[in-house]
This record gives sequence, C-alpha cells and structure tokens, in this order.
Amino acid sequence: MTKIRLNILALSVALVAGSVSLAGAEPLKVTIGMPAPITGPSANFGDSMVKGAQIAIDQEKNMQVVLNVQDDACDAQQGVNAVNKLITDKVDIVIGFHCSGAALPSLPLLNRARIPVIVSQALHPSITEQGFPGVFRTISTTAQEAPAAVKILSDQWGAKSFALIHDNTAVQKNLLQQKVQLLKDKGGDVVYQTAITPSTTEFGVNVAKIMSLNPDAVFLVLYYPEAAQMTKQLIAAGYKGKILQCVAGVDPNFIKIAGEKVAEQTSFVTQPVTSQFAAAKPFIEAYEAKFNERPGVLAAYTYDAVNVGLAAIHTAGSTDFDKVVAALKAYSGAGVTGKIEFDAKGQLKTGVFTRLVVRNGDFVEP
Amino acid sequence: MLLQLCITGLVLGAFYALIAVGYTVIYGTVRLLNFAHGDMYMLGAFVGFTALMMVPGSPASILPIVAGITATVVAIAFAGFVVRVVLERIDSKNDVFSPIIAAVGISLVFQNSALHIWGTKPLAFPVQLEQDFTKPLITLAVALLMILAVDLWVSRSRFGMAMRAVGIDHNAVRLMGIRVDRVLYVTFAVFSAIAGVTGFLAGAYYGSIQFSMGFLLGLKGFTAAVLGGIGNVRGALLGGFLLGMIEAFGGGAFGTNWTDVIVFSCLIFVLLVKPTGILGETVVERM
Amino acid sequence: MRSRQFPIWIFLAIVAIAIPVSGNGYYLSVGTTVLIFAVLAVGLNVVLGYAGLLDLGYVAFFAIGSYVTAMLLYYTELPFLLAFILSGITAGLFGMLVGAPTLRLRTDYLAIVTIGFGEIVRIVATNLDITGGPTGLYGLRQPVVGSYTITEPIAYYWIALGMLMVGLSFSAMIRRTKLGAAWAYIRYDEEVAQAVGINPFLVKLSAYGLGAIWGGFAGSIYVVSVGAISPTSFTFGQSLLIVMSVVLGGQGSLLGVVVGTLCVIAIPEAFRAAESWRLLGFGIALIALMLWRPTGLIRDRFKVDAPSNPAQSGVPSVTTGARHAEG
Repeated sequence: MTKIRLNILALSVALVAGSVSLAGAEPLKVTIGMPAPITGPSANFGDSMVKGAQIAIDQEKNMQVVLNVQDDACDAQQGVNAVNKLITDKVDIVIGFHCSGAALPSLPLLNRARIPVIVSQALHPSITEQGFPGVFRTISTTAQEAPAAVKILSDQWGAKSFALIHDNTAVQKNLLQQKVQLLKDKGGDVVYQTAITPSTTEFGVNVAKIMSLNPDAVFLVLYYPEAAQMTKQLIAAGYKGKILQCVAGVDPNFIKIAGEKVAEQTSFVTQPVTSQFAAAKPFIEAYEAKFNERPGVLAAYTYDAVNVGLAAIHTAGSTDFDKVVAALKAYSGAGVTGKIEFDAKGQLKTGVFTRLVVRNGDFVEP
Repeated sequence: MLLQLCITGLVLGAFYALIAVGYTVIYGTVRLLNFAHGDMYMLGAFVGFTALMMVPGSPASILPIVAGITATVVAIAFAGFVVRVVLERIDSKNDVFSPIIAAVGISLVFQNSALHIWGTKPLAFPVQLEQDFTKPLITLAVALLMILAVDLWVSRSRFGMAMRAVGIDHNAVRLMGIRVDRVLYVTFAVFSAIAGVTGFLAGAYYGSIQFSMGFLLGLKGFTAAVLGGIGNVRGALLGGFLLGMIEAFGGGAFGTNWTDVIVFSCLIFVLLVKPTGILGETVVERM
Repeated sequence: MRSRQFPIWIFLAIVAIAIPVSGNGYYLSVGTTVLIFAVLAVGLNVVLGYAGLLDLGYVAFFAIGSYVTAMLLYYTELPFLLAFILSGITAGLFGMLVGAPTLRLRTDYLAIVTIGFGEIVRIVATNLDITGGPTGLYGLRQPVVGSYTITEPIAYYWIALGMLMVGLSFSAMIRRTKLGAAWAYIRYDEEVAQAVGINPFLVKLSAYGLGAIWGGFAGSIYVVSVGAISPTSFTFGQSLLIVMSVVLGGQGSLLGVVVGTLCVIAIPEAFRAAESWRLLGFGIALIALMLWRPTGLIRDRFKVDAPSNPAQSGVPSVTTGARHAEG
C-alpha cells in the first residue's frame, strides 16, 4: 500500500513539476510593427526592408514572431496614419522606417504609446537627436557620414576648395550643411553651394559655374539619376578636379546613365552595402534562396535591427517597455553590418563608412 | 562661363520652343490648351526607348535610329489622334471646363500608364549623342529645322490655311466645305508627333528618361508659348528661346533651386502686363 | 433639404460620430485626414462649383495657411487663435494678389497659372530656411485655448468636424445671397450678367478670395493636428485630389463634395492600394465623367446648365441665353 501511495505521490509531483516547467517554457509571442514605404518613390527600399525582416524572423527560434507591415508611402501624413494603425493593433515593438519625413512626426506618438522603436533605414540625425527614450537606430546617420566624406575630400585628396550641390530634400540638405561646416572648420573654402530640382536633367548652369570657379573637388549630395547626369556633364565640360558622390548615388543605374567611362572617374562615400559585409553572406544566401533576388542595399540593416530587437525582448523576458528599452540600452553584439552598440541617445555608436569606386560595372573597394 | 550659360539657354530654349509650337498651334485651332501635350513628349521618349531596344543590332547605328524615330512618330501621332477623338466627344457638352478636366484626366492616364509599363526609375536611353560641342549644335539645328518646317506649313500650305480658318470660325469653315473634324485630327496628330520626336531627342541628348519628364516641361512650354504670343508659331520660337535664356541666366544669378519660381513668375508677370505676349495674338475672354 | 439627400446626410452624420466614439486610433487618424480634405473641398467648391473658376493650385492657400501657423507657433509665443486668424488673412491676401491679374483670363489660362502659383509656393517653402527648408518644422507646440491645451487626437477630430459643419452651413447660406446669385449668373453667361450691372471681375475675386481665406484656415488646423509641417504635403497632386473631390462628387452640390472626398480619400485609404493605380483610376474616372456625366455624381439643385460654349460657334450671338435641357 505504501509503495503505491509513494508512487502516486511521485507521479503527481512529477506531473505538477512537468506542467509548471511547460508553462514557463511557452514561447513569447511578439508582434513587430513595420512602417515602410510600400508605395511611392521609395517602394523598392520598403520592399527589401520587409524581406530582410522576414529572413530574420524565419531564423528566430525562441519566440513566435508576427510581422505587421503598414505603408507610410514616404509621406508625413501617411506615416502618421500607418503608425496609428500599428498602435491600435497593439504591436510590441516598431522596427523599420526608411523615410525620415515619415518617421519624424510619428516618433512622439510612439513615445506616448510606450512602444520601443528601432529605426533601420532612415538617416536624418533628428530621429535620435530628439532624445526619445525608446528610440534606437542601427544605421549610421548623415551626421556620421559627413566626417567620413570630409576625410576623403580634405585628407585623402588634399582638396582646398569645394563645390557642394544637393537636391533640396531633407536628408541631403542636412548632410550638405554638416559637411560645409566641417570643411570650413578645417579651413577649406566652399566656393559654390547650391540646390537643384530633382528630376531635372539639364545642369548646364551648375556646370558653367563650377567650371568658372574651378574648385579642387566637387561633392554631389544627389540621388543617382541627377548625380549621374551632373557628373556626366561636368566631365564632358572638361572638369579636371575630383568628384565625390554620396550614399544615394550608389545604384547600378548610375553606371548605366553616366556610362562606364564616366562612372569610373568618380568615387562614392557610403555605408558599406549589403554585398560588402563578409558576415552577411549567410544572410544574402538565405535571402536569395527565399526570394529569388539579391537583397537591396540596405536590407542587411533591417535584418540586424530585427535581430537586435528580438534579442532585447528575449533578454528582458517580456515585451514590457521599460525592460526592453533597458535591454536595448545595454545591448552589445555583432550584427552582419558590424558592431552594434547604442549611445546615450540611442544612435548606433560606430558609424562605418568607406569609399567605393566603379570597376567592371560594379561597386568595389578602390 | 557666359558662353556656357548661353549654350545652356539655347539648348533649353530649343526644347521649350518645340513644345511651345504644339501648344500654340493647337490653341490656334481649338482655342483650348492641350493639357496632355507634355505627356506626348514623355511618351515619345519611352516609345523611342522601347523601339530602339527591340530592333536587333547595336542601337547606335542608322537603321535602329530611323526605326526608333519612325515608331515614335507613328505611335505618338496616333496618341494625339486619340486625344482629339476623346476631346471631340466632350466639346459639345455644356461646361467650359469639361474639356480641360478631361485633358487633365488624359494626362493622368498617360503618366501613370507609362509608370506601370516602364517603372518609376529613370532609364538610360540607348542612343546618346556624342558628348562634345556637336551636341548642342545638332539639337539646335534639328529644332530650328522642325520649327521652320512647321512655320512654312502653317503659313503657306493649303492645309495650314485650313487650320487657321478653323481657328477663326468653325461654322463658317464647315459651310465652305472643309471637314473641320479631319483638320483637327491631323493637327493634333502632327503636333503630338512633333512633341514625341522632341522627347526622343531629349532622350538622346541627356541620356536618361523618366515618366515625370513631361509635367514640368509642359508647363514651361506653355509659358514659352504665352511669352511669345499664343497662336503664333514665330511667337513660340521666340518665347521658347527667351525662356531658355531667362532660365539659364536666372539660375546662374539666383541659384538653380530658384529657376522654376523664376519661370512661373515670368508667366504671371507676362499675363499681368501683356497677356497677348511679345508678338501678340488676342486672348479673348470667352467664358 | 431635398428629401432624397436627407437620408445620406443622416448616414454620414452617424458615421462621423461613430468614429470618435469607437475610440479606434487609426480610424480617428484617417477620419481627421478625410475631414480636413472635405473642408478644403468645400472651400474649392465655392471657387469652382459656385463661381466656375478652374483653380488647379488650391493647395497653395492651404500651404500658406499652414506655414503661417507653423512659423508663428515655432518662432513666437503668439496664441494659436491669433495664428489661426492670421493664417486665413494671409492666405486671403495672396488670393487677392494672384487673383487680380489672372481672374480676367480664360479658364484654361487660369488653370495653368494656378498650377504655377501652387508650385511657386511649394518651391519657396522648400528653399527658404525660415520655413524649415525641405525638412520643414516639427515639434510644434500645441494650441492653448483658454486654460485648456489641446493634445488629444480626438479633439482635433471634433475641431475638423466642427469646421466642416461651419463650412457647409456658410456655403449653403452664401449661395442664397445676392453674391451667390451673382456667381451663378456669371457662370451662366458673363456678358448678360454684365449687362444687368454685375461686375464679373469683382464677383470672381470675391469667390477666389473667400476660397483662399478658407484654405488658409484649413491649413492652420491641419498643422496643429499633425504637429509638424513639410513642403512635401503641398504638391500639385494634392490640388488635383481636391479638384477631383469636387468634380467627381458634383460641382456645386454640398453633399456631392462630401461624397466626392470620401471616394477620393477614404476608399483608397481603406484598401491602401498602390498609389499609382489610384491615380490611373482617377484619370479614367475624370475622362469618363466628362464624357457622360460632367456635372458629377450628385446633381447640384441650384445649377442651371450653362449655354453651349460660345467659342464653338465663333460668333458671340445675341441669343446666348438658350438653355439646354438638364442632362
């Protein structure tokens, strides 16, 4: 009799212990809200953002993750609507944003809703400068790009006089202003600084001015269509100085529009693109296997952002705002884009920039 | 620098003049601005692009270029014809604005169709003019020849007379036995085709084309037509080149981000001071 | 109110009240956007629907009003109500300035000039640093009315709805005045109207000016509801959307304008479908409308069909008063 009772007791204890541990091991359910430009001019960036995130989610083993994508159409009003939808849908964390214009007005809303945010592709410094406690970013900003560009222009090339042109869009103008400041601080002479209208193809006026002022170097803070045109026209006019492009110039179509001969005569300062990170190879392979196309130039940054977000939630053990934010603040790890650590304002500490050139129709290290 | 600015002004002027001619003659015949004219320019560039890509052999040789231009002319002439057919059905309705709003609708349809067919990203044009001093010269020569041809046609030929007569009084012309509808079909077709070829030229000149290229150019082409005197072919020529110069030198003086403001302010200014334009043509209030 | 329209108004009113009551943040946000657009459409309706002026750059006044309020909130400590009033006045002044030379022109000229003006405003706002340049201004302080600071999105919804109600009532009322009648007459036949002593230019200017002031007020409310401003919100495309709301819904008809706004803004938002398909659809819709139903979906009760375009006959005839059967 005693033996049976003992056995029953043992069995019940085992059962209770088993069910308790089972309850504790139940996977955490996490919903990631992703505001991305699905329509509009930046649609291809939004598309690769979503796909990059998907790869990270597929690889996540510890938690059940759901992705809720909302279109911000790269517009402030639509961005606010998209974020409101995410807040109403009660997402646990927001990861994404490509257009700074859509991100900036949305951040106060997310702050009030106490949802942590990891920005993965938008570059305007104000996103983290504003100092919202729950906002982090896994990509370097224009504030970090400027010093890298200036290093190339002044130190590497030894240029003393400069012409800078932007296209009157928010991030580009900001980048240009930072660079101008830095160049002036170094004693450089900014002889020509102006803006062009996007979508124009005739740059004769700018070329004329540059030829007459003849600066040592020209920095084009333009998207690839205008950058390619302007570079082509400058070189055709006989400009002999150095020409530097910014991140937005890095696109295969630049080479097509400017022509290989012209493209080989200019350099690009940029965050490394996905294909350059050695650590990104498995990511690229997984992406190609699943989607049958190469990942977009910024997809790796979103991939890292999702991994960082999920890791922080895992460390925190819950989706509670304070715990997750604390985990993010303390985060230190290696993503495929490099070391990821955040400063006091939530900005990625180490901004990595490099100079690329065009050889054999592709962007490579010089 | 002055020389460079002049050349830029002339090249811009050539394109503006070519577009302005279309606006001005169509206005002269139907007393309405063809809102979709700028899109004919854009479509010409894209149709040309596709035609060039489809013809086998290196795009830069004679056969593909001729084929490309021919395809452009035919396609855009047809597009212009279609536009006129649609507008014709609307003209007989009540409102003065219906044809204008319909033209805006047509413009939207063309632009967004182009967007879906060819994508949002700028495309590299397969044929590009040699990057040297011959570029502006060739462009200017082509533009001047085309406009001269148009001027002769409109002022000397019988068809030209028919066009001008239609512009004065539809009913009287009908009574005299001229098929007004046919005259208008041809007018729209021909001038749309001219805009289309201008688009092809722009593709070859600049090397890249984009679905939005027609919008701003259309507005500036209209401005040039008004500047020179609407309804007047030589006015279009003059207005086009003048506007090109204003844009080049204005951009040089004030900065290239102000050029569009300068151009549109010019438009408002001209309408304020001399609405008939430099060479003049009556702008009758006909509400 | 005509009995056929009444039930539709009731339905709209129910929807309008259900949204804030539901507490759904997303619907509230979209609802506020739709309401502000409707306010703009009501303003354009006076210009286009009543007075027959084809303004394709109406967004300019919206932009002017928005920027005036944004700059005052950003750079000064002036109270919001003052900024609101100044926004309307400034927009109205610009309306007069632009209207004076251009309202004497033909419809198609007016159309292109108004597009040009819209572009000028947008480009100037993008170029100047004081307007925040391409980034715009953000983090604007919230309006304070009395001792009450307006922070909740739901408050903005009610404000926008209130503004729409005011706009609708004002439009209905002004239509019945002598000025309203004058607008209808010049639209019908300007020469005859002139013969009976109406000054077409002043009458048109009053419509244009009123529309401008109204657009300015709408801009002021818009800015505080978003808390930020950027020049990318004020493109030609936006002007087109407002024009479409008025034209599609029914020029002149107030119910039409509201329904038109719903069709143009709310439905695509509900599907969040690709923007370019939407524009393509609109282009086709405009053409179809002009071919078969140029007056728009909802018939304007007061409207009398204008005579056939005198330009067609080439000769200004004495009998231009000929009416066509309504259809």
